[in-house]
Amino acid sequence: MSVSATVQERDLGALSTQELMRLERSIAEQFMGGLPWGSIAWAFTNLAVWLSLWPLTLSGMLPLWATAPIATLNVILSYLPSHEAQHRIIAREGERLFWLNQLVGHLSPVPLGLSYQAARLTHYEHHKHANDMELDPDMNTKSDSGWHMIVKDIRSQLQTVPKMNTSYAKALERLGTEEARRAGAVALIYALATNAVLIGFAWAGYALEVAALVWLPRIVGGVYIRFFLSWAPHHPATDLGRYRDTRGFRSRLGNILTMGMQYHVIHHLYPRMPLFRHPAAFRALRPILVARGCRLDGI
Amino acid sequence: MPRDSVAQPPGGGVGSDPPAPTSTSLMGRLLGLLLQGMPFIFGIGFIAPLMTQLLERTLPSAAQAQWPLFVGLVIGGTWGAVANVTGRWL
Repeated sequence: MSVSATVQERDLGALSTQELMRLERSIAEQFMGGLPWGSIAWAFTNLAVWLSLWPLTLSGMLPLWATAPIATLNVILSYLPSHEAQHRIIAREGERLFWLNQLVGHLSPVPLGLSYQAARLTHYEHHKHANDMELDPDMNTKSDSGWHMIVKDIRSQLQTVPKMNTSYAKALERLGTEEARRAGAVALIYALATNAVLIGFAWAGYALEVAALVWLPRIVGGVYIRFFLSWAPHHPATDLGRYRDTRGFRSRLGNILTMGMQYHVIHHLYPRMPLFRHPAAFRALRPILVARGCRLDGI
Repeated sequence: MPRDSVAQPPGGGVGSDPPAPTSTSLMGRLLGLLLQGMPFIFGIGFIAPLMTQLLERTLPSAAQAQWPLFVGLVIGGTWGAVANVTGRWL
C-alpha cells in the first residue's frame, strides 16, 4: 500500500512537526520527476497555432473576428510551459535535455511577449517572498475580490507605465546581479521590439490585423493570466509562510479553464513538481495540508 | 506569475512604456528619451494607422480619400501626447 493511501487513515495530530514533514515529503516524491511531455507538446502546439495565424490573417484567409479570440487563447496558454521551464522541471542545468528546457522557456511565451530570463528571476523572487508587500513582485494583483482585481488590473494597464512593469524592474534592480541586469535589458528589447512590430505592420496597412494578433490578445489574455495565475491562488494574500501564502480553491470554471491553478498550493510547496501531477498530488497530500492549516477554499 | 513584457510581462499592455533605465551613458540617455516619448510614438505609430484603417473599413467611400489618414494622425497624435503628459491612456 502506498504512503499516500495510508495517510488518509492516520491520526496526523499525533505526529510531530518533523514526522509530518517527512510524511509530506515521502508522498510528494511519488509525484516528482519524469519528462513533462504534456507541457512540452502544449508549448510547441500553441506557438505553432499562433504563428500560423499570421499568414492566415495577413492574407485575409482568416477573418479578424476569428483571429482575435484564437490569438487571445494562445496568449493565455503561452505562459505555463515557460513556467515549467523556469523551475527546471523539464531538465536542470547539466542534464542532457537542458537545451529543451531552455527552448520551451524562451519560445513558449513568445505570443505573450515575455522575456524568459526576466520572468524566471522575478518569479523566483515571488516564490521567495510570496505575499510580502515590499518584496513580492506579484503583489500588484492583491485585491479585495475578483471583480476588484479585474478593475484594478485594467486601470493599471491604462497607465503608460503600469505598476506591474515597475515592480518587475524593481525586483531585477534589487537582485543587482549581472544576470538580472542582462535580463532587464532583454525584457526592454522585447518591449521595444513589440512596439516596433506593431508600428511597422500598422504603417504597412495591417493595423487591424496586428491589433487582433498581438495588441488586444495581450491586453485581454494578460488580465486572464494575472487573475488565475496570480490573484486567485494567493487571495487574500495576507499571510506569509510555506503553508499560508498560497491557497487551494474551487472555481466555477473548473480545473482546465483555470489552468490547474486550483491546486497551486502544491506548486508553492514543491515547485519542481510537473503541473499535470498537481491534482493527484493534492488529493494525496490533502490531509497533511489540512493538518498544516492550509487554506483550502471549497476544494 | 507573469505579466506581459518588462517584463509586462514583466510589460503592461503593448504600447505601454517600460520603466526607463537609470544608466547615465549616452546610449542610456537616448533610450530614456525614447521611452519617455513612447506614448506619443505609439499614438502616431500605431493608433493613427489603426484609426485610419478603421475609418476606411467602416466607410467605404473613405477608402481612396486622404482625410482618414489626417483624422487618424490627429486622434493618434493627440491621444499619445495627452497620455505622455498625464501618464494615462484614459
